[in-house]
Amino acid sequence: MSQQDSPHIAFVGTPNSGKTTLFNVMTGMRKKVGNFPGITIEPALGFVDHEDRRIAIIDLPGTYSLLPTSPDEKLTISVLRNELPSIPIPSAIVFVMDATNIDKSLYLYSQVAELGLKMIIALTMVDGVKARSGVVDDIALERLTGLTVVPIVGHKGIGVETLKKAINEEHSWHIPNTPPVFEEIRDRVHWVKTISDTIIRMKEGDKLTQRLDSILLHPIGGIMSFLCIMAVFFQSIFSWAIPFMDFIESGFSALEQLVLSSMGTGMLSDLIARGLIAGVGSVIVFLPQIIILNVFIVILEDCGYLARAAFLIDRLMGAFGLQGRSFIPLLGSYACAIPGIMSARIIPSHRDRMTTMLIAPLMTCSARLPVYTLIISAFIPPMIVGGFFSLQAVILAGLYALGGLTGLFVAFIMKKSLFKGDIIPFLIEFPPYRMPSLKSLRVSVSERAIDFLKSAGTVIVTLSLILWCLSAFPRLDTDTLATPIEQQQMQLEHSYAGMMGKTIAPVFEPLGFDWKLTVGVLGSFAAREVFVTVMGQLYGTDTTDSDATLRSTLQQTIPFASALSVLAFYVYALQCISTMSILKRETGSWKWPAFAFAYMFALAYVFAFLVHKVAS
Amino acid sequence: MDNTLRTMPIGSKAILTSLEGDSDFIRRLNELGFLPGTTFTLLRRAPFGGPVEIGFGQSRIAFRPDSTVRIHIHQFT
Ligand SMILES: Nc1nc2c(ncn2[C@@H]2O[C@H](COP(=O)(O)OP(=O)(O)OP(=O)(O)O)[C@@H](O)[C@H]2O)c(=O)[nH]1
Ligand SMILES: [Mg+2]
Repeated sequence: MSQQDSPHIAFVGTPNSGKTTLFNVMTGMRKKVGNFPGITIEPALGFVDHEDRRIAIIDLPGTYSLLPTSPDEKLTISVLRNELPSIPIPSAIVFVMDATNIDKSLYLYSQVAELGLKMIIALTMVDGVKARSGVVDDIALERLTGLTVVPIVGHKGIGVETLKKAINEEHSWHIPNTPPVFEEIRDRVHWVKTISDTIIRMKEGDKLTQRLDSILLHPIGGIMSFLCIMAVFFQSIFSWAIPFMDFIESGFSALEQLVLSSMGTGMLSDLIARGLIAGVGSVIVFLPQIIILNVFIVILEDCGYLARAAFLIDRLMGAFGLQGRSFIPLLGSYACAIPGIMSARIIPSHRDRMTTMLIAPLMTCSARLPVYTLIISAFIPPMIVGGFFSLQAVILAGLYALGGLTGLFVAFIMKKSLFKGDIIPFLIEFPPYRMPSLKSLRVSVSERAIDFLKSAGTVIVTLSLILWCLSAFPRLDTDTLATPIEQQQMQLEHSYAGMMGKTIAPVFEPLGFDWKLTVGVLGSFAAREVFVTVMGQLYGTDTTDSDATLRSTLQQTIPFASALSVLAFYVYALQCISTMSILKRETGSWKWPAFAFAYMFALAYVFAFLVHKVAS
Repeated sequence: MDNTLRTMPIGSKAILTSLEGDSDFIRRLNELGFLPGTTFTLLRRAPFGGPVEIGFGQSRIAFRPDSTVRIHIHQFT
């Protein structure tokens, strides 16, 4: 990139100062925003068009200082020091200064100013200062720094046009006044104090934040509310999603019927109805649950609760050799291990970070949900326990908790062996509570939903077709005396899938899996949710009876102990190619994903074996 | 362990007199403005001996004063 004709400008600022919010409004992009210090973990490139010029902007992770303590901060600093081959040093900097957190912003500013690059200051969150009956003296800030200062309210777009105009005008850019030479951190902190009071004066604290914290961080009330939030979470995934799931399910089975009745019973109609529609349908059914799960996580993140949750849980994490920050990647992994593993970059200690990444795939991700839901709804009666909770939701919560607790236990062992050493203690800044914005909710949730649908449309369709072929060939000469169902069963046993399943079945036999379940496990090797598709293809044979859903077929044909054993297996097994490749990227070697796969498979095998033994 | 952050009453004020431990961690606390000589208020403690939140000036930060960190304070009231 030639810096002359396409100046490329970096957004630099402290964590949670509103960089990405501003970046999104200026470039029209939809990068993830959240009320937590450490949302952006990778640089993002965007373009601002103004009149007939186009300027490249990069959004960087936030940092408190140019001496990094964690990998996300290090990234920003290596860009500013021109140490990153993929991103050349920016030609200028928009310094994003959080007006409600002026001391920390000015500290970083004093270091960035020493780089000698041209700068403009975007003073964000000025609305927050007003809300606390404070005053912002942006003129004083201009005078002290020698820079153009543009007050901004990022999410409302206030000041954005002015900033766009400023970055396009040569005369708005200046080299900042050189701050004094600082010998020590103390001197810098003092310098910050002497000027921060002249720029921003806030009369009071954030009332809402103080009031909410007195409840949500109360020694008893805090724990109670944490548990309540988690309980509502699981109850909602199971109960609220059901009507939507029923609706989607009946839609797909109607479609399947329609194909079968209009196209007759040839190979082609079978391929479309059983291979494609049933295969994709059986996965798309879980969209409502995945949406609810993600809405929940995004709301927690956006309102500012996540940092508090990390505070409350730090002690527990400490008992297992981790710290509160590890909670964020782990909670994120409940939606999907991939963003979860990436967000481990906010953890300062290398050892803690490695441990966190290696246990992240044990957290119950959305892809396990289809498997759990299918088995639970087929085998666990929909009773109400404790007056309010459905037994199914309780079991589901149990499986979620099991994944998490095992993860902590594994972390404990790893921190005693592989990653021995002192931890860097937990340190975090609480963001103020904010109303979750509908926009960022829509962006994050639709992104996950689209990812899920995309995978259903590509990976799942492909795998469904492969599995259909494997189970439809080689053809068996039909015995005309047998009923259609018997014919289908015979065809299956005779097929490649049947043969493969039967060959490998002895391996899984101690877990109580028959050859069909074995095919399910093998088929979902690359992506867990394919298990449901396979079950649909292997068991959903009786489409002539409209009442016979997959669930009731499973219930009649799979022994209860084997069903529990399947659940146990999926709690632990690392059946996800994407997780393995992200682990490779973040750890820099295939060694670690291979290690994770091996230890998780061993856990899965042993646990499923035990469950099967006990249950039968 | 004379870690009086563990014993001082919530809401009380103290002066930080010395701070030792993991160098990155201590440096970051300093950079955030928590240096020897800083007067701060203990805002809250997480249950079961978890992290603490302190306030000084317009800043609030939360951290775990665990056994690897040696913090000395002079308590007022
Ligand atoms: N009141 C107010 N809130 C804002 C403003 N700008 C951003 N926010 C909110 O502040 C939070 C943080 O915004 P982000 O844009 O994610 O901050 P960031 O600087 O990119 O944060 P990191 O990527 O974590 O370093 C979000 O909840 C935003 O909605 C603003 O001008 N006023
Ligand atoms: Mg950001």
